[in-house]
Amino acid sequence: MALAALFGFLYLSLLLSYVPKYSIDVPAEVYFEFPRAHDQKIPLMFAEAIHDRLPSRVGRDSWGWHFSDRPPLQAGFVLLFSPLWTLLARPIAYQAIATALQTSCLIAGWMLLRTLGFRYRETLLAVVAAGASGFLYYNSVYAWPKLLAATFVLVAVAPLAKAFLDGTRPGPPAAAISAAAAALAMLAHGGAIYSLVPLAILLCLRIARLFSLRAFAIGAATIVALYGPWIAYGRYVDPNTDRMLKEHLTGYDSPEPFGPALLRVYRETTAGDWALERVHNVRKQFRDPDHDRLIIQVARGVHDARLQALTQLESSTGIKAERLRFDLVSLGALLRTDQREICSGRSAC
Amino acid sequence: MNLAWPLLILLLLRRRFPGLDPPLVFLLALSVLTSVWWSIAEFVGGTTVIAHSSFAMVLIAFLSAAIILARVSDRLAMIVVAANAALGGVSWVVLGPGPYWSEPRNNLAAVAAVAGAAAIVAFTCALFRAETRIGAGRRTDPLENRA
Repeated sequence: MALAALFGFLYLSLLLSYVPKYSIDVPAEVYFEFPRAHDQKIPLMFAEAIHDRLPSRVGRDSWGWHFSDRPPLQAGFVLLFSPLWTLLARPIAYQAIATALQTSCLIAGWMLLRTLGFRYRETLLAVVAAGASGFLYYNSVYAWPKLLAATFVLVAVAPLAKAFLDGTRPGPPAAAISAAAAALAMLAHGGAIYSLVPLAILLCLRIARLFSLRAFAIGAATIVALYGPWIAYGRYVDPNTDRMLKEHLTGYDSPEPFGPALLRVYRETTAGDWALERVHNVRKQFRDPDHDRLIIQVARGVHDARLQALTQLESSTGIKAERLRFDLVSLGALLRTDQREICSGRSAC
Repeated sequence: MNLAWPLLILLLLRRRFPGLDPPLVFLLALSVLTSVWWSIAEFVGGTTVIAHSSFAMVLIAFLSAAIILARVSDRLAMIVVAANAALGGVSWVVLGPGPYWSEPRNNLAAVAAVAGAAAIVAFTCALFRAETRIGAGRRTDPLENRA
């Protein structure tokens, strides 16, 4: 926990050192040549809308999004700490809380590794390695709640993986803790589902030996109790159109409901095309040939001035072609973009 | 850190503890399965960029990679972790943030950042030293008994 606090302090200090006066937009604008989406401030906007009872707390914004399109956990934490707003400006108070929440994934990582029986030395090294990575730094100051979701995923994994590996049954308390953590992960960021489903698939290998009916019922009840109200909020208080689900799982937003939209896109796709797209998805996790070529072009140009004229620079995500030069600053921007936008397979390196 | 993946072969061949034991296999299986499931679920090809991913997958893969390195060689792991931290520092701090780098900066925060980094290094070294002392007295970590 002390390590996580120290890393949080380091991240915040680094962020604040970039500009003489902090604003909430700094994390989205300061790291890349082209400002990124300001997703990191949505939890603060939601919290402020509720705290100040603004009419905008429900309904569509000018970009067509509802607050209920994105899960509320980080906004909830911000509201919990809203008394701080009397002492500190809201943006800086939010940034401190949000960064602290993201760095909690180091605590969860420590807990997971020690629960599974990894040696103290290995655990310490792994946690320090994660904390010292650019991936964790950036995603803690650009504090969209993805690392917060990861925290709860790791907490959910720990007791279940321990029981799975020991061949024992988790008792009702362990089942309740895992279920609560899974629900909180989903309440932090919907992307957690990409880890929770594979966890469930793995556990299915020993499902009969792993779960008693009682533990299963307690887990299910915990999930319904925690996640149900948010579903109801998105249906009845601030009805949304499942835009996030549609954009990810059907490819684009459409006026029809999510279920029919999903069925339609799969009906319209041939098995061959679907398989090709899956291969493309797998490849994309490890390589982006255009971006790789751009990095190599700039690196070669930095290394040998004669090669600068032979290359042609192109724009890429987060990069402005007109700003790109054959120098280390441009190379740094490309490497940061690689970790922020491109390949998860290389993100931590 | 990606050096860990080819070195995984060494752990596969190693019989004695700590090799590729069930907890590590579990974490690696979870990462691989997440990667496959994510590729299946994202409908449009080429949209599996990190911004759309589950960061738990990235973290678990990262922690696993560090553990693989530590099991191959403690010294190698420390060198790789230090090199990775240095690369992160260069690409995220020294070479950036691009458009704002020439602007006036908050020097107090910069000093705090240096102090924070020094505190992390000192604290980590102290934990390593304490663990080495305790480990030498105890010979083994109690949790290793399961192996």
